[in-house]
Amino acid sequence: MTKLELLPGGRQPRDVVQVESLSVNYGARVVLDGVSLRAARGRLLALLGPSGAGKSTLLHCLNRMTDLVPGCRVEGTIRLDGRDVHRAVPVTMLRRQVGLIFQKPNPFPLSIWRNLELPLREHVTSNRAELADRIEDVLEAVGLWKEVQGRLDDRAETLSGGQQQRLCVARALTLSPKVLLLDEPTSALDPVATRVMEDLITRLKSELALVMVTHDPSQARRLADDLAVLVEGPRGGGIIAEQGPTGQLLERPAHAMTVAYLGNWRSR
Amino acid sequence: MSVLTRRLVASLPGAAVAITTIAAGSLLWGLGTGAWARFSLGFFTQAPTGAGRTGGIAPMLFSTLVVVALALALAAPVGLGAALFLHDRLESARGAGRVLVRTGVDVLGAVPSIVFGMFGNALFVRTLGFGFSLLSGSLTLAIMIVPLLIRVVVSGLETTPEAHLQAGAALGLGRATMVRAVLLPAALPALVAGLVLGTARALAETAALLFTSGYADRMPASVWDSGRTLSVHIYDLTMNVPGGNASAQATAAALVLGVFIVELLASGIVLYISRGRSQGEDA
Repeated sequence: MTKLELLPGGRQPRDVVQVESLSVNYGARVVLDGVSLRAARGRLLALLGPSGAGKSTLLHCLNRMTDLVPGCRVEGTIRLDGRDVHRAVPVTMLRRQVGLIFQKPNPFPLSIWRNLELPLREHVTSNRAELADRIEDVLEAVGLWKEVQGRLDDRAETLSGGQQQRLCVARALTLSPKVLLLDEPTSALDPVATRVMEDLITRLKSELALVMVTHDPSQARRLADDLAVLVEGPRGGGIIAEQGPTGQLLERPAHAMTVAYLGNWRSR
Repeated sequence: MSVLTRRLVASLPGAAVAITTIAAGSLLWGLGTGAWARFSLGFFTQAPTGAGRTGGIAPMLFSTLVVVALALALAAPVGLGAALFLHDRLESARGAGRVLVRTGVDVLGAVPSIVFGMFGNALFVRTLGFGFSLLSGSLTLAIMIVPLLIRVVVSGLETTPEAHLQAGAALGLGRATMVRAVLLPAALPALVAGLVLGTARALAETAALLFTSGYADRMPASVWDSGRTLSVHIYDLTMNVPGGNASAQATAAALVLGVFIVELLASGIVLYISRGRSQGEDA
């Protein structure tokens, strides 16, 4: 990392995110069924599992993006630094502290500078010098500064897909989040851009609590410290079949459903 | 399907274009040839004489510019604000509510202009005491244009990618920031298109203005004065002034020329905005 201090202040508690008995319904459909997990600062937790197991829904619950889904009902407890995110943390404050990176890069149709300036002006500062410093810091942090420093007024869409995704990470970092949620962040990128993005994720791990959805056990092995395997439970909603340290879980899965899910990958 | 039928079907679009072009060309040719003899600098800068048979159209040109500009200035913020509000509400509204609001806006947009004229006459001219004035005409035209603007801008807002809205929500950006930074730029081409359509409708309007801005053919001193727009002048020359057809034709040509210039300017603006975007998307 560069001079950027992502977490000003003292040490954070080890478990930044605690999820207890989380159930989510979309109308009558059960999407998650009693999920519990923890995410710690300085570690990356990967959520692995088949499509439809509720991985992205679980991720989106952590910063209450599920509030935007009509008919979505969330039960159970999610704590950020010990505080209930539904009762004790205003949603705007929560989303400042828990950033979210989507599958496809989604910069605003504005200049590179404006993409980074918007969240800063909204939540942090409107001082021009401070804005410039902070924008340089986050672009350095994601390895984009040298690539874009002469063209900050260019539209963000003029960047390549990989650069756009790193810009989106930089945009989230402007708010000094405690947690960064990554929803299959490399699924829309080519192999070279994927490698650059994975290097960035590895660097960010030392500063933040990271939770990442992935379909790729190999990527989970490369990046994740901890792994949670979500599968479809008996009531149709996603349950965590197994969770633990990545190496151990991938090499010696204990649960039959994990073995079944990882079977194809392990036989490669 | 026989070869002959296939050929006939294939030639239909070309025939339709040809018919439209010939009709528009004939109209413009007729107007142009009739008007050419009357067109001079004086025609655009002098007041009418002989009840409009001779002289120029300067007061009408000025009244038209004032009425249309004022109507657009009033309608644009109201239409844009209403479109943003309805876009938000339509997003969350269930099926029946959504259909009801859309139908309401569409019906309002389809109300004949003479009905708006009667409404404007009752409200602005008599109840509010603005009298027959450019202001009464502008307010009436603004009310006529607003439904059109709402419909066009809401359609534009609906093209805002969901990804941008989600990105804003994930960053905890407030509604005002999202509107200013994301929704308004997305709706800009639609707003320009709506304003062009509104301008065309306002320029062509006669019935509503007869009842509100009146038809005094002198140069208005202020927006409280009665004023005659180009379309009302054409109506008056054709219907009430014996021997006024030549002037009516020349005025009509000037009106069409005005619409053409507005269209050209607006197309240029839309092209400029679209080119900026597509350059971004192509890269």
